[in-house]
Amino acid sequence: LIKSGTSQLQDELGKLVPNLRAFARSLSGNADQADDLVQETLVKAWKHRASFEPGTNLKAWLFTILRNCFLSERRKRKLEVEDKDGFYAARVSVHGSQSSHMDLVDFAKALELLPVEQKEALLLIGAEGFSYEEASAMCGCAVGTIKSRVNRARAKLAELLHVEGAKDYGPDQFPSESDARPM
Amino acid sequence: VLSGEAHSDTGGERMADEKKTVVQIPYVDATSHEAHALAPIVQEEIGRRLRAVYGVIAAEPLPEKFARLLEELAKSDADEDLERETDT
Repeated sequence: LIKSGTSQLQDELGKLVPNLRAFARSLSGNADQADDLVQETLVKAWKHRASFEPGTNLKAWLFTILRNCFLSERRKRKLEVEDKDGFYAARVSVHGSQSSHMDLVDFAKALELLPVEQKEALLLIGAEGFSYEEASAMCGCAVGTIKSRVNRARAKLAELLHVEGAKDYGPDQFPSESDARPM
Repeated sequence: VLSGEAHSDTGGERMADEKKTVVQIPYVDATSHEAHALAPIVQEEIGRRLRAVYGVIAAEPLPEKFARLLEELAKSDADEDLERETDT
């Protein structure tokens, strides 16, 4: 019985590794650091598996462990280096681009420029599809705070990437009647 | 009474026209980054690119090290169980 439980957990953790990697990479912007984070997360999850309540969301539990690892690591690093590597390089090279591949490269760069709280909220909601309630529990803040962070993240990305339509809604141009949508 | 009604009908239409143009304004709030600041079409585009970037990473072939780590963790459990058995 113990053995089957163990191998089941092994399988379930294994299945979630791709998502954990994508989250870690998008959050940290660094492939090596991201894989270290995922490994740390798996070890911690295994060690503390007794504290996971069966029937609850394993993915949310793992993502919470990963973001906690990331934030504590970041706090340590921040004491050492004030400016993040590549910040200025990324900032100057984010421009409107032609190909869709370049769009994604630029998007990844622009994502790097977001404050970590906004980036985290956007990834959990927009990329992973967690609910606002789940994300608020994972990040330990109010639902309204998560909503506001996601909105600010989207607005900043739209601005950085000159996403079409963003400028049409500037203060001097009102949307025409056919463009108006209920919000 | 009939002519009065006709007047109020045309008046009503005129008011409806005016109302339509006024209603557009609250949508425009470029300075606010809070709720509803972005047009839905922009939100969709941001979401589409985000999922594309994220999906590319998630679809990468996994390095061996993760499967190996999980094997080791499972094995370390088995070893502990064995130790416990030999202790008693």
